[in-house]
This record gives sequence, C-alpha cells and structure tokens, in this order.
Amino acid sequence: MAIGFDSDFLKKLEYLHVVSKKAFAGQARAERLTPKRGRGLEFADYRQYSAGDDFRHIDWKAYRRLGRLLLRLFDEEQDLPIYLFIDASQSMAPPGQSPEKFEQALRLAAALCYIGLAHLDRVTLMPFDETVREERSPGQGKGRIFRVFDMLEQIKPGGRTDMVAAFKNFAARGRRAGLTVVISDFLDPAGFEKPLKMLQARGHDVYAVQLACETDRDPGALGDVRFVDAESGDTRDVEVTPALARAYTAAWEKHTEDLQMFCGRYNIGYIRADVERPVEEIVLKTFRQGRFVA
Amino acid sequence: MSFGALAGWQAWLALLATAGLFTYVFFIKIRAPRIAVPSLMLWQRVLDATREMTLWERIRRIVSWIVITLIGVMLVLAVMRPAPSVTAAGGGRRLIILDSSWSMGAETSSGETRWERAIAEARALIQSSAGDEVAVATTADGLVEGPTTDAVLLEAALDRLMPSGGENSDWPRLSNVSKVHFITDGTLARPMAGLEATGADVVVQSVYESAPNVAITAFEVYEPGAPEAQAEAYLELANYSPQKQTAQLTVTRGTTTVGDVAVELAPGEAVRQMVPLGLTGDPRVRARISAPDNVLAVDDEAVAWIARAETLSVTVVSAEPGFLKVLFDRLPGIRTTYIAPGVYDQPRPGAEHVIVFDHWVPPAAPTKPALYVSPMLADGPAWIGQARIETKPQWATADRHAVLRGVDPATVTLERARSVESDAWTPVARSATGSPLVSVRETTDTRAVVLGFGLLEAESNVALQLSLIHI
Repeated sequence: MAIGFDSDFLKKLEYLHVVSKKAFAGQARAERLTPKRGRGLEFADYRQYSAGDDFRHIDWKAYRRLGRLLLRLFDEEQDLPIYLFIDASQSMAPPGQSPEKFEQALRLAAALCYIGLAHLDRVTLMPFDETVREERSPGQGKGRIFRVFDMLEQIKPGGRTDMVAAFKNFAARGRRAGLTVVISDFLDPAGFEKPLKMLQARGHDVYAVQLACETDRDPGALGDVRFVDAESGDTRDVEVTPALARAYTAAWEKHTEDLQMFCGRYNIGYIRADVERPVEEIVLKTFRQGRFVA
Repeated sequence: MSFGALAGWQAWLALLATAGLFTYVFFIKIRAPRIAVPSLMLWQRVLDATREMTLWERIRRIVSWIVITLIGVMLVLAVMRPAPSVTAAGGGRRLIILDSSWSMGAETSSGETRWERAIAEARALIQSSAGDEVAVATTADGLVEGPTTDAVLLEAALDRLMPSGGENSDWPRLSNVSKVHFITDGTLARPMAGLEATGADVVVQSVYESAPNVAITAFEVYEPGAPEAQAEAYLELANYSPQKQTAQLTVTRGTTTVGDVAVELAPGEAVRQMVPLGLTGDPRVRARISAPDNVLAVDDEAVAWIARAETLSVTVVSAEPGFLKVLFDRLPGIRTTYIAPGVYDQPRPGAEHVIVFDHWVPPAAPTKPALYVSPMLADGPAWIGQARIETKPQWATADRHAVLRGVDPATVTLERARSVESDAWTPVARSATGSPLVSVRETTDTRAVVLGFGLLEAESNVALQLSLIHI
C-alpha cells in the first residue's frame, strides 16, 4: 500500500498542532513549553539567588527595591514526545477482506506524524500486536514525512492483539512520558481498560483512536455461518438470525460506548474514526472537534 | 395391519429406516460458509447472552424434527398403503378380488404390468393374513381358490391367473366375508354398490398408473343380405394417451390386406370408420393397430369371421347325437353333419373343418382338429392312452389355456369323468385327486381336445357353461 497526501492537505496539516493536556519535558529545544525552567523568552518566576547561579539573570531592579538578590526564571521550550501506537494485529486486516481498517490506521498515523514533524516534535512509530514491534523514529522536521511514509508501508498486519503485553513491553523500554496515541479497533479479548490505564499511570497523555468498518458493525450474512477468528483461527458455528444480527450490532455499539465512557472517565481522549470517512475529514474535523489537534 | 406390497416386518423396517434417515438428515451439519471476522469476542458475548433464550429455540428445533420425520414416515406410508388387518388374532375370512379386465395388462413405468403389480399386492395380503381364511377371485372367473388358510395353495392359484376380461360378470360371492380387498386399475365399469352390499369391509387397492394406449375398441363385420353387396368391417379406434398419435391400421382377410391406413388420433379421440372387405376372400378378418406410444397389446388386434364366406363344417360322430344336435344347431355359421361311429372311416379331405367324437374314439387319430367328448375306455385304442374313471370329481386346478376361457371351476359340476393319461396329451385341468379332466394335444395346424366327461346332464353341467363355445 502506498501512502501519500496531496500538497493542499499537507499545507492544512502544517497549521495544526497536537494538543497535549500536559506539559512534558523534551530533549531538544523546540516550540513546546515544558515544566522545566530554562532559557526561553517567556518570563516565568523569581527565586532566591544561590551560589553558582548565573548572575546575568539577577533582577537588579528588585534588589534595589527589596534589598534581596532574586533570580529571574524563564520557561523552557522543548520538543514534545509523541508515541503513535499502531495496531498491526491481524484483526485490522482479516484474511479475505479488504485491509481498509489497517490502511486507515496508517494514513491517520501519517497525518499525525506530519503534524508533529512540522512542529519539531519527536514522533515515534510504535506498531504493536502481542508486543511492540521495532519502534521507528523518523527524526524532526516536516521534510522527514517521506521517510515516515516508507516506515509505515513496511508495517504488515499479523499476530494477535495483546495490548497489555505490548504496553508492558513499551514501559520496560524506559521512554520518557509524552503524548500517546493508540490507533486500534480495541478488539482485544483481554479488554482495553487495563492497557489504557497502564499508559496513563506511566504519566502519558493518552488518546484512543478507534477504527471501525462496516463488517465490524454488521455481521452481514444470515443463515448458517462459520465465523473464523482472524487472529486465533478459532471457529464458531452460528445460525445468524435477524434477531441475532441485531444483538451483535447492539453488542458492538455497547463495546464502542464502553470505550468512550471509559475514556471520558479517565480523562483519555477518544476519537472514533470509521474507515468509510476520508482521512482529511477525520483529521481536519473530528480531531479538531475532539480537541486532539488545534 | 397390511402394507400393500410389503410384508409387515418389511413395512416396519422401512418406516424405521425412513425415520432414521430423516433424523440423520435433520441433524447433519451442512458445511456452512466460512467468514473471517476480526474477533469472535463480540460473538461470544452475544451468544452467551442469548443462551438463556434458547428454550424457544429448543422447542422449535424439536417440533421441526418431529414434523420432518413425520413427513418422511407419511411418504413411506403413502407408498405402502397400510390397511388394518381383518382380525388381529386370526380366524377371519377375507376375499381378494383381482380386476382381470384387459386393461390390467398395461405396462407401468417400472416395466411390470398392472396385473403383475396386483398379483404382488395379493401375495403380500396373503402373507400378512396369517390365521385368516383367504379366498382369491377375479372379476372374470369369479372365485378361483379358497377360502383357505393354505398360503401355498393361494399362491399357486395366483400363478395361474391372467387378465381375461369379464367386464360384464357379477361380483364373486362368498359367505361370512369380513373384508374384501379389490385390487384394480379402476377401469372396471361395475358398480361397487354390489360389492359393498355384502356387508363386508371393502378396501379398494389401486394399481393404476397413467399409460398411453391406442386401442381397437369396437370391431364387427357387417354382412349385407344381398349376395352382390360386399361385407364391411366397423372399426372404432381410440387414443388414450395425452399426446396426439399417428396409428397405423391394417385390416386383412386371411393373408390379403384389404386396408392399410394411417389414422391421426388426437388425445382422447375416438375414431369410427367402415372398411370395405370385398366380395370374396378368406372368411377370417383381422384388424391390427400400431402406434408409437402403446403399452397395452391385448386391445391392438381384433378378429371376426365372415360367415357367408365360408361356413364352419363340423362332423359329429356319435351314436346318440340328439343332445349335441340341439347344441350345434343353435350355433350360427356352422354346418353340422352327424354320422354314427360305425359309419366313420377316415377324415374326408375337404369334407369338414372339425370332427367331434362323442363317447367314441376312432382307431387312428384324425389329422383334423378334433374334440373327444368322454371317450369310451373299455374298447378304446392305444393311441389315446390309459384311462380311469373317477366319480364326482372336483375341478380343482386349471391352466389358463384358451379352451378353458370363461370356465368357472366353482360352478362346474361333474358326476363322473374318464380321465386320459398319456404323454401325448397335456392336461389343462385336473381333479382334486390329480386326474386330468381336460387335455389337449396341439400342433402348428391342429388342436385336439379331450373332455373327460360328457355333456349330458348325467355326466356334467358343462353344456350350460359359457365356455362351451370355446371348447
């Protein structure tokens, strides 16, 4: 699959930036405020002078008024760590069906990547299934977008979904906290609550982007059907009656509603991105309405 | 309980097998189409949640299974045609009447004739009626065998039976019959009320199966009074098939064809026509029809005799021809000459067609067709064989020979018989003790018949039988 955006869309993306509800310490100077005090331009606070401080930051006017040596502090502006978790399990592209859900995930990741790169944020691609596969950092600057496209195209769907194991693996790597976006269908037999809470507990600002397609919402076929789990290969013979089909659709809606309510309760950003909608509309409209980008 | 052409155990086995088969088919897992889904997680939840609601599904499934199995059982029962037995414990009396009309000779789709199918059903009825007295009768011959509990005897009687017409006869009568099985193809135009009036429980078992047929339904020779006017044959042809047919009609006098035409017959159409037979020719007139779809052969040919073309000449050799003279003089188209045994020498060439020997046998066998009525034994020649006298013999068994057509053994009374036993003669009717009552000797040209009894009232009542003319 070849990923690419037209120049108009890229231009629109440059005007957006990813909104983080928290300030995170970065690694290099950039455009994001950090909790650290440093050498930025924005005045932040005073503190008592202590030996060893740079006396160029002593506020002499305050010393004249107050008779005390006060040091002027400034905000530090650094890059924002953005971790894009892309669900690359087999459920994103079941065999025999169009991989539209997985392709949509890659396109959304590419768009978010470009927004981050354009603002010198440190974006890391984290494809996962049962574990986090090889993480990829394209670097900084919007000129790296083509490298991002190449990286995304190399990701192939496969394996089972196990978000708990994957996020444990990520936590073990000791990455600093940042903005974490999980792009997935959240069809994890172990549930989505524990892994998302785990990320949040590690100090990340978490966003959940739920992908869904028509075949997820509607079983389609009626009559005797043997359903095959795309990930485990397990089968289940079901006589799909209209009532059962309605029950399935209701179950899927409840699953989505549970995810949305969970995210709201734990201050996790939630965005639903159906594959039937174009990426441009999702990014420029839905992401903005969800305060994910501004 | 009787089951048409099946024995009881066969029927129950078929029912059980059908029920088992339909049950297997109901529960067999048809390979369902495979559909890959991202996860079975949601399906698992849905099915777990609906598990409590499966009571209705279980009821529906059980009802469906019962209905399907019942359909299968009813299909089998429809084929087997069950009927309750006369008496469960035996001791009843039942009468099996076979429709012996000519239409029973029609072939069915399975290759057997309706008659063969009827015989099979009759056999099954006999087998399933253990303990009951069973009698076998036909619509043409009346009571043929029984009532008896001897299945072997009844089956032997069935072996002898053939379709032989009898549309105008009465229903066979038998007292104390609790059940009558009438096996028919439905073409017999005889009111059932006569059968039902006996008070017996009447079960009609059909062996009818639609079959295309083209037939000669009427054939008669008309001889005008004027000698210069030629005779004509009246023919009626009918097409009983659902398709239009082109039938080929051939009319012959002896070996000369006097008419050979193709007749278009619409479905159900009957065509009547007259065929001129000419002024002179053979007295034997034969009409034959052929068609592509024609399952019944017996109605494809008809014969007639033009009496004025040639009178049947009969020589009666009898010491006392009085009674025979009364009989023969009433038969049309016959010129009879009566001579005494002492006058008879040898058959005179061209003098007669048939010779009848009454209570006397010539020293040498004549070469012409001959009827020997109660041949004398004491001074009989050796060529006719050994003989013995039996008093009040009972006509027990009979072949379906042409000379016995129309003979009803149950109504024949014999006072005495002089049976002839010889390898040269073939018995076609025997007494209960096995003595031949009627024997024949046939060549390609002639037939000789020996009646072991006389026609006078003191010896038999055969003279009163319809069969006399055939004999």
